[in-house]
Amino acid sequence: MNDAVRQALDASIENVLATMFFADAVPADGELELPPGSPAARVEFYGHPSGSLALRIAPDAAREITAAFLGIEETEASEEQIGETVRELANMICGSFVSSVESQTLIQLDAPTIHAEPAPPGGACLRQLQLDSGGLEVWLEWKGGEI
Amino acid sequence: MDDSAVMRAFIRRVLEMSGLETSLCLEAAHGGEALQVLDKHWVDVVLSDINMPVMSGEEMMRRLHASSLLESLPVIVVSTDSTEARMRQMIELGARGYVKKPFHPEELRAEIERVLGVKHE
Repeated sequence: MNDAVRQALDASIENVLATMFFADAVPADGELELPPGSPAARVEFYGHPSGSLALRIAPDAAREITAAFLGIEETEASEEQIGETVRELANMICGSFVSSVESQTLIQLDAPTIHAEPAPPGGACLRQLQLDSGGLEVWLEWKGGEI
Repeated sequence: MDDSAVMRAFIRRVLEMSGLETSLCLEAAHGGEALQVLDKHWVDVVLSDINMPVMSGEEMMRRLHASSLLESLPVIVVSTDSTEARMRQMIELGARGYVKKPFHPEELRAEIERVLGVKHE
């Protein structure tokens, strides 16, 4: 995976967080350790390129972005709203990224799903970030080689 | 129309904050639900996602087109899928506008105003 793809992924993450969730993220200082059971979501995409984008986010950070997205207090955010917001975060990062690397062909994005994978698979492009309330890790897997 | 309840809530909040006069805002989780709503209610504009379970926004557009309802009903696509190929496809199907997620609230308002031909000060 080349630097241009990594930069496109970073730009998509930053843009989605800032525009829709009013959140700033900076690269994590060292290895990010998320607590077990942190909300997670995955989106598969098919076409050229094909692959998947998955993310995990610290529970407090998930609550923070849910509250910002819905314009409510963090204490008001339900678990259902938090889960759905995390899936929407994955959906928007994936769509934004895919559209930025390939624009001329149709690419099918599946609906985001909850996933419970403990760690990214080998070979995935992993980005680890820090929000105000906790960490966020995003990983991207290609199927079908480089673009 | 969006299968994500939190996205529908976000868009509703953006509309409320935009100053646009929205006397009634109806929601649907997919194209099939939207067609049922449109069967019972006249609306000024439809904001539609594309990728949804049960019936996609693309299929809903085809059905609206077949019923000739699209001639008088403006549809604005609001989607994460913003490849030029997808945008071209949806415009060819009859969409009057396109807003890419993520979007700033003012972008959605501006596109609605452009499509409806109104300007709110």
